[in-house]
Amino acid sequence: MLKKEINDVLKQIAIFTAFALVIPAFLIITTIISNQSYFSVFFPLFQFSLPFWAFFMGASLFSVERGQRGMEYLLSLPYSRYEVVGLKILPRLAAVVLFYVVFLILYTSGGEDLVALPFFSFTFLYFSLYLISLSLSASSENFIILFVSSLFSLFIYLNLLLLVFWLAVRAKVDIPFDTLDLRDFLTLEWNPEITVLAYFSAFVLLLPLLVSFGLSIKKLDIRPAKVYNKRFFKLFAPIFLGCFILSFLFAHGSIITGYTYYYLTKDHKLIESTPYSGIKIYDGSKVHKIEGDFGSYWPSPFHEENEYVYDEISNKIVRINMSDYTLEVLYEVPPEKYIRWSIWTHEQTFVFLEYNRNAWDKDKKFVPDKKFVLLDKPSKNVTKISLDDKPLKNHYNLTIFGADGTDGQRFWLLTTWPYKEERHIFKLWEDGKVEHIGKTRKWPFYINGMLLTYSGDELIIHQEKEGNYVPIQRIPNPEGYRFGLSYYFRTNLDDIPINELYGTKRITLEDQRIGTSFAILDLENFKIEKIGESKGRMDYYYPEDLYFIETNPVEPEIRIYKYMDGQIRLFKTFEDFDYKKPENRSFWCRSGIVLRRGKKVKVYAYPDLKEIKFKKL
Amino acid sequence: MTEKIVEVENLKVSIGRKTVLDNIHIQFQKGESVVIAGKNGAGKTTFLKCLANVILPDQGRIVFSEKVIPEKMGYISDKLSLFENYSVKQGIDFHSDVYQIQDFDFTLINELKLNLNQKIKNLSAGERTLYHLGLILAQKPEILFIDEIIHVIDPYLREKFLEAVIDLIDRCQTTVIMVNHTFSEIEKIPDRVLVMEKGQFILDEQTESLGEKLKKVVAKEEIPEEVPCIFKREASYLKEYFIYPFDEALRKKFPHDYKNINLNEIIKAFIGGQYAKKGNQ
Repeated sequence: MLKKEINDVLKQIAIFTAFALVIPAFLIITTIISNQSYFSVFFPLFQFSLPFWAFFMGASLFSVERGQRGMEYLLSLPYSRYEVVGLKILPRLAAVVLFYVVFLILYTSGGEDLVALPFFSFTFLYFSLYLISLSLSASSENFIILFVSSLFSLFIYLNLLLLVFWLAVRAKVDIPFDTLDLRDFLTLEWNPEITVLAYFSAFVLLLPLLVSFGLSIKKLDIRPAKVYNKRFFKLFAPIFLGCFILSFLFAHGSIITGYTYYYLTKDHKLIESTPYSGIKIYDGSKVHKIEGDFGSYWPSPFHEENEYVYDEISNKIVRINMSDYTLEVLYEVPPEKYIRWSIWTHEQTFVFLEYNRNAWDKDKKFVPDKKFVLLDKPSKNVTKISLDDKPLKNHYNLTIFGADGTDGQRFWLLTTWPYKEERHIFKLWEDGKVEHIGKTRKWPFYINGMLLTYSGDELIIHQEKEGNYVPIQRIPNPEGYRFGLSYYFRTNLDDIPINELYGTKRITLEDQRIGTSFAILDLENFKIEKIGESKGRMDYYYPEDLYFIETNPVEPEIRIYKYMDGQIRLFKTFEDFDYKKPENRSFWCRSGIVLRRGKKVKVYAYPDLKEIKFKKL
Repeated sequence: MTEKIVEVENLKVSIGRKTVLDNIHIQFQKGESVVIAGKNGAGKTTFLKCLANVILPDQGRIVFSEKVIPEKMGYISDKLSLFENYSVKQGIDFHSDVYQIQDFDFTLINELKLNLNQKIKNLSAGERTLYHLGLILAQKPEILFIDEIIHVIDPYLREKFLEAVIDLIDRCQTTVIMVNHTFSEIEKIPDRVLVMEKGQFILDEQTESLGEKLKKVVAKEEIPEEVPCIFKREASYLKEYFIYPFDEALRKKFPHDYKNINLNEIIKAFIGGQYAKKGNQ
């Protein structure tokens, strides 16, 4: 019997393989598709046809016998129904896995860039469709009906999965339905970390079909399909109810409260934000809540001044008053626009770039509508400068990296993304005038009227003379350090007495891990001094706090090193913190570190990283 | 001494809202040859398919004796069901493999002079029936179910088929349960006759005693209600009454011309006659 089933499946494999190989060749030979390699035509078609193969392998469990009028003979053989079904499933399941393995091999051998469906979506659809069509294989003798009902069931299944996760999310946070998208499940790329529980949840939702099939197939006979289906649905209904609840519980468990974000302010107050659940501020003894629709706000203030914290929330630039815990909107970006990258602070003005959300208009014309927006902090007045004219017309990816002023007029410095390893540098005046002032091979930096750029192996320091930036120092930098600001710091350093700049470069350590090498640029004698290496990422804060944060993939701990007295020294170790666990999260702020292990949240403040206690946290 | 080979208890099968088999209790003995007759839709085929495990009952159970392992059961369906894309040879190999037949007996298949590479779907209905019987004979079955197939075979192959079945009964003491409408060709076979009506057996008699127990009365007038008439057939001005169960005391009490009838006529009467409710008690 198994031999017969293997032979049947081998014939089906041969036919499918022949079609999969021949159709791309046909398309190329007949020049329906031209100027493309065979593989680039074959692979997407192959991937596209695999879900059909999965469906066929599931639904064709009895198709050979039905096609040959052999169903009565099959059922009269000396096997139980489970033996018959088991012997039939085995080679078909092997064929489904075999083609998935073939897909994986092709995917990792150059197919990754040619996929018709994202990897996870495909895997999910492939196996779901197989299991669904297998579950329905005995419910009709008509293949077209089986195909339509399998697709329909898949559609229902995916929507139920969406519903389960939506209900599970709603049970934890207040989230509007339209923010969840079916696509999230197909790509498995949605915000709450997808854990094993989430996969369980998805699988459990398939169980009603599989279990109903398993139980009703025990009594499969040659009576009309409606007899079988009646039995199937009698079993399905209660199992579905049970599995729906179980799936919900798994989904609920898979949504991690790590979704909550934290930020420690310079006054050692803690901002906590859970998406769609408002903002909480812990002052040490009390918790203050700010109600409102803040979407999935991740507090990362770009500026702190006096009692105010400035941040961007859901396309609004807001000011949170940390004394009376109120929130004020300074500027709201139009719905069709978004803020590109971060907001730069200089004196009393915040500046940022505002782009069209959809840069391609209905005539497929590229209209980024790049605007340079100046927001005056005291008056809340907004000025917008268009960047769509020359010389910035053809530069889409712009970033602000400095600001200054001469003769009563302010200017900002912008750099482009690297093209052929070079970035352009532009100066944008307050009146809208744009000047091209040079190129650099690494990220430029501006401090105290000095512009830092990079050539192949030199760090070049320029100073403005009669409207031009001329080199005043060429410092050998063969190791390629980049000096300037760390990620969280987006402001001029003009108000801070800076004597030295910190620089980094990525290195490969002895154990093949990626690390960082550090150096200091002395701004008085313009010398670069290498100070050490670290495993992992680093953060540094001016004027003189230089911290190295090391995460070790083997040992579950975080080590903080500090640059002190010309040396890097181990400063603090956070033991028992496995950063790879999704329930563990770390938040690195200007004023400290917030670590969450499961449900426990602990806050440590610079400069000594002592723990700060917050009641009710 | 009789040896029970299969016992059917409380068997019930429905298709949709229709009850096809209704609470059937019956036993079959080893070596017994049984013919089941009845109108179309009476439930004969469904009953046989239940015995052959092709239809699983909604209620009740079928208990085979320990000797009757699944490999010792044969079933020839009315649809001549086989894997018809197989060649004759592949069909034999598959059947031998599944039923663990070590030395396949080709006698009957050789008599048909079949090309071993010929596809089963290209065989005639008669050839296919005998081919299937050939497969089953190789199993040396303890029990054989044959469903309404004889009428599709030509007279020459029919004779061969029946000879093979009779030989099987004689040689192996195989229990044969057949469904058939007519008895003219198979009159020699049955030891026992069953007649089905509306999912129940309304007649269950040994063939030998059936002639004694079932008589026909032809009369112009109505016969008294006390006479156990199971069927009544009206032809022109005459009425035919089928009396069952008959005993000699009836002849004395209600003197009529109680005629003997042959098996074929008995079955025809059951199938074609007007059903008398009291006969179904």
